[in-house]
Amino acid sequence: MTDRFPTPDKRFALEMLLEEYARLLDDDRLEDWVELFDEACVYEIVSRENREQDLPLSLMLCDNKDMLADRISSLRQANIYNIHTDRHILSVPRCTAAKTGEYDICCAYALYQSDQEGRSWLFSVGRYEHRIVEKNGRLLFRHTLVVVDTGAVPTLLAVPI
Amino acid sequence: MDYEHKHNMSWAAQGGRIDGPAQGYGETQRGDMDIKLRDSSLLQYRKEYPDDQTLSILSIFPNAAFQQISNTLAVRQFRTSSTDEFEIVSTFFGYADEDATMTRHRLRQANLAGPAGLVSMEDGEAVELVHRASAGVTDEYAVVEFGGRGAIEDQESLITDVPVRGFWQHYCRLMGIAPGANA
Repeated sequence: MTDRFPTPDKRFALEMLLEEYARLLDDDRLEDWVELFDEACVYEIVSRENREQDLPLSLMLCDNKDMLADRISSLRQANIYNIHTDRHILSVPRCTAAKTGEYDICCAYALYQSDQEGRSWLFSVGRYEHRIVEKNGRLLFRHTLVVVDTGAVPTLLAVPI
Repeated sequence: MDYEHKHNMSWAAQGGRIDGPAQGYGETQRGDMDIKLRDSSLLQYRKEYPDDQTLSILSIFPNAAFQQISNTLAVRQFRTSSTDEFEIVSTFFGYADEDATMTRHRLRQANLAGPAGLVSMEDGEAVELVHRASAGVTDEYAVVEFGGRGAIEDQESLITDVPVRGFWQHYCRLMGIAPGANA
């Protein structure tokens, strides 16, 4: 079966969505980032090691939007973690049309972190596999799978990738 | 703790021992228990053993821990690689004969533990902070008053590091390091 590709206009819209996803995370606008997701979304971060062995354990798993919102409010109100700035570098995405009103986006990422003293380090490398749905003219993340090559997490993973 | 204080178990039980809401958190404002979840299913505890324990961390000297946090079951191995670095290898497990909903529940509750764990992520940060504070002192002493002073004995509250002193006291005994000596 050959892949079907979205129209250039749609592809542009998907790329903009992907850019917004990364920018909201990098700008610490986590509550706005949650609003990019569909109510029935799944967000998960899985190590490549587990993925390749078909082991189901995630590093982070939110299987609806409420759970994703809870993760963010927990970070804001309860958790203690290193103060840092995230910076996502994304590869050129591959965008395909799945079925009517649904699209897939795959791209690689490199995620750098910087501390308050201006030191930066590579925190995580991996790839995204996004399933996007179109609802009432809006593109929303339905399923986001983050496959991390960096399975040995340096100290802790607080903010979603 | 065992009689040599090298192993210890931290535990909490449903309807049993309860730490006061803000007790032990001082002025950190992190003892606030008034946080509401939009999806509270993450915190549901499904009783699966005859006892009422909902949390049990069994620390085995020198490098392993067996963990039950709610319905997550895991083994943690601590692999030291240098004075500045160690690695935790977590292996989560369930039972082969349990139903799919229980397996699903355990996988969701794994959000509580591990490096991205809502419960455990600060452990990594806390250790990092303590290490950074003491690592600069290379030819003098760096004193970290884990659990204060006094006898090393079983504690009533979970907010204590007295068992950590027991762990290191045993380490010093094995290594022939006298209290106050230059290691």
